[in-house]
Amino acid sequence: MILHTVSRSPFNSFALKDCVKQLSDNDLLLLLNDAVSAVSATTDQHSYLLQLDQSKRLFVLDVDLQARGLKANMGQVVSYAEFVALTIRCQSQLAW
Amino acid sequence: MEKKIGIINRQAPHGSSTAREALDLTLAMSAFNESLSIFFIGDGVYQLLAKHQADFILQKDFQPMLQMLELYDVEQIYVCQDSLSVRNISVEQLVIKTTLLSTDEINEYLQQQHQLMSF
Amino acid sequence: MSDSEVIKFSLLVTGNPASSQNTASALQFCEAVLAAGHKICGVFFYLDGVLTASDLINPASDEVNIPDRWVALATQYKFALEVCVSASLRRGIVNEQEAAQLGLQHYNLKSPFLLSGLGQLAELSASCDRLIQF
Repeated sequence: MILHTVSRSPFNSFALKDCVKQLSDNDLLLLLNDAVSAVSATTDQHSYLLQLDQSKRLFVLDVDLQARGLKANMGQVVSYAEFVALTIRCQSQLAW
Repeated sequence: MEKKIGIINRQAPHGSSTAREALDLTLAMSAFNESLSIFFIGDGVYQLLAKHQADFILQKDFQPMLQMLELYDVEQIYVCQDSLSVRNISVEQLVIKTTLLSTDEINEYLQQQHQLMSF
Repeated sequence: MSDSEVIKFSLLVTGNPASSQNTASALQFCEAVLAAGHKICGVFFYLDGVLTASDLINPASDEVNIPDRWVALATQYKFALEVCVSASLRRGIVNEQEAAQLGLQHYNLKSPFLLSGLGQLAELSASCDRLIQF
């Protein structure tokens, strides 16, 4: 199981699009830094992210949302402490 | 047991130093770890396209260093088939011997790695 | 791994501290690792991440000095801040010894950052339970 972390905005980078292609059935996705906009906006990956959220595999870093004045419309909002726990839950991490 | 490490190359060469420095890292890691797998996906496949003339743009031609992967016994070199096709690149145009994989196959191989580094 | 087990983390940091949030995120992650009672084996700075080790970084007084924060955390918890030497030299991060060898008039490596070879990354990778990249 891989924890994929995406940090670039879905509106100026292909990181999220590319990451989603390489996400296996059990993998988790954590959005941080500028990538957090993906859970408040409507991206090309919107329906995929919704599915991911339904299977409880979509996470978004709380302080990165707050810092940008954004609210999450999907995904589990997590702290850095929970981010650490996610890296322990998964075998490896892949940064996009 | 030695950790299996996957190194993922996603960036086009020369526009930034990332590709070249990722290769430096890969060659150095290969001296310490014999279980490396190298993946080229997305724009990363452009690193492998033959006949670079990087000196024209004041950049270092690192393709000779790609040949050293074999010398250093890094044999698990994987390229994303979809990334090649969408860029109109055929496998004959690549400078080193690689194994072509589908997106799903790459996912399987990534799952097998204990650690991943991505550039 | 169980929740109570102490996990050993190594970090790979690649972002420019002045122009990207990357290094700050890595720092906050490190703080959370330590607050949870886990261990940091070491942090390896590569690509533009090596710029974090410049002693000449001087942000305005109302900005957070990220390199200072790294130094404070690493000193308190006794882990190494390793900076790749080849990535550093091409970006103008030099220690006293390299400056002498290369005939440079100045050096600027912030203490206690260490110029290391990529072998040190291999070492950090081998000795940790989790390698996390920023």
